[in-house]
Amino acid sequence: MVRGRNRSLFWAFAMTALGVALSIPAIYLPVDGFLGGINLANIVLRLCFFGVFFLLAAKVAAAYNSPSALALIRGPVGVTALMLSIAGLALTYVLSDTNGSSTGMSEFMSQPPMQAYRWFGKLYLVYVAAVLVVPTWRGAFCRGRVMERSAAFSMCLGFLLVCSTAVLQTLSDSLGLLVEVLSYSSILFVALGLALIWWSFLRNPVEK
Amino acid sequence: MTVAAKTFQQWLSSVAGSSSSASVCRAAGIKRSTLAQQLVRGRVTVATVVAVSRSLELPVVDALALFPEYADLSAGVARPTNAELLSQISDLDILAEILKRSPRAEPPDALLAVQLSPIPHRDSVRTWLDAIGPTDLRQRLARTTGIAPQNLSTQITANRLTPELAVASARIAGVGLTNGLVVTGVLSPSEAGWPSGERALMLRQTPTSALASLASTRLEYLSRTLKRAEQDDAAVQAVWENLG
Repeated sequence: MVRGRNRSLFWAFAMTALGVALSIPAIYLPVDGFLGGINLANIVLRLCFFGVFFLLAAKVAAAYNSPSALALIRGPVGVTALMLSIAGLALTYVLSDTNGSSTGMSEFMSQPPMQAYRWFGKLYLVYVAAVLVVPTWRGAFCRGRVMERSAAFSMCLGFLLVCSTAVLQTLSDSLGLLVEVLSYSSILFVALGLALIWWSFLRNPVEK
Repeated sequence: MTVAAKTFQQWLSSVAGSSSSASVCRAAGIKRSTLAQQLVRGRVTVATVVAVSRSLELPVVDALALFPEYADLSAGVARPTNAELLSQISDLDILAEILKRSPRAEPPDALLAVQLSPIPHRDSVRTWLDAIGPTDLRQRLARTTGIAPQNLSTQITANRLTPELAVASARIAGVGLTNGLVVTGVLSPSEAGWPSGERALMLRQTPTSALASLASTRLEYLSRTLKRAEQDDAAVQAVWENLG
């Protein structure tokens, strides 16, 4: 069996792929139909993103040598935040009428519990992003090599955007396009940061 | 740092006559595109002037002095002070000299000429500035040349100093104007009029106690530099370990 390096990153990317796939109607509708047509697949999608953030965040906190951020994610506070978000998701899901597959549950957004459901789906992600802003900021603005610093800066920007998008959304709900642009660019910035690190790693292989 | 392209071209036609710029570049060992770019931008670097002068076997300092920015350079050539000479001896050469003088050392081999490592050494710029300087040298340098203090210290940490700053430092400290160009590696010691063998002589004449205290200062700084490098390296390793 081949055991690669950084297997938790692999799982994070695998879950990202699953989450993205479930955001596409052509995949979501058959999968959800298979699960009973009551939008359980949307729960799976949300849990996927929680898992991605949990794994990735611990890695980023360790990479930028920040024990406090690591404790805030792996420690009791972080686990409580995760559990709270999952419990909130489950509760609001049960309270809503979710019959009939609908990608992103967009058909049910008029129901008040669904609003809360969406909110709980964001809560943990925003918490994690907020925790990671500080260590990546430090990584970007302490001395070091340009490549590593720009990678950290890119991720920091991504996490900041996640937080600011959430703040904007709570302030006003008539910002459809802006929120969409911000959340997609936040993903791009985090991915760009990871890609830069991967590239610099490839250029300077670690001797084992 | 640079001289005006127009003046450079006038100088070049006066010294190189009719030879083409391609042959000048080839002889001087600089890329044609580099020179072309410098001419387009209107500023030619001191390094280019030095390379061309060397290839034409002209006295380098006198050639530089033909440019208005460096007009007083040849008049300002002076023997390096003792402190300057010591500052240009590398850490390892100082330590080797101390070891050689210790009672347990092998009897000196007279035939084996001691070869000091060439100028500049790893930390030439900083040790030179410390050797020539009044204590506020860096502040005065920043004030007179208008460079931001943090840019100046970045250059010094990287063991670099632009020719402009090197000459300005020498002027403030009142030492030979070309000495800064030697410690930054722009000029060779002999081009700047440093008598050969002077460093070795200085090293031999310095009492062991003075050498020991010099070595301890150097090692102190070396340990700080190494620690910083190790920390940076560990940070990069942590990033790769976790996200690579």
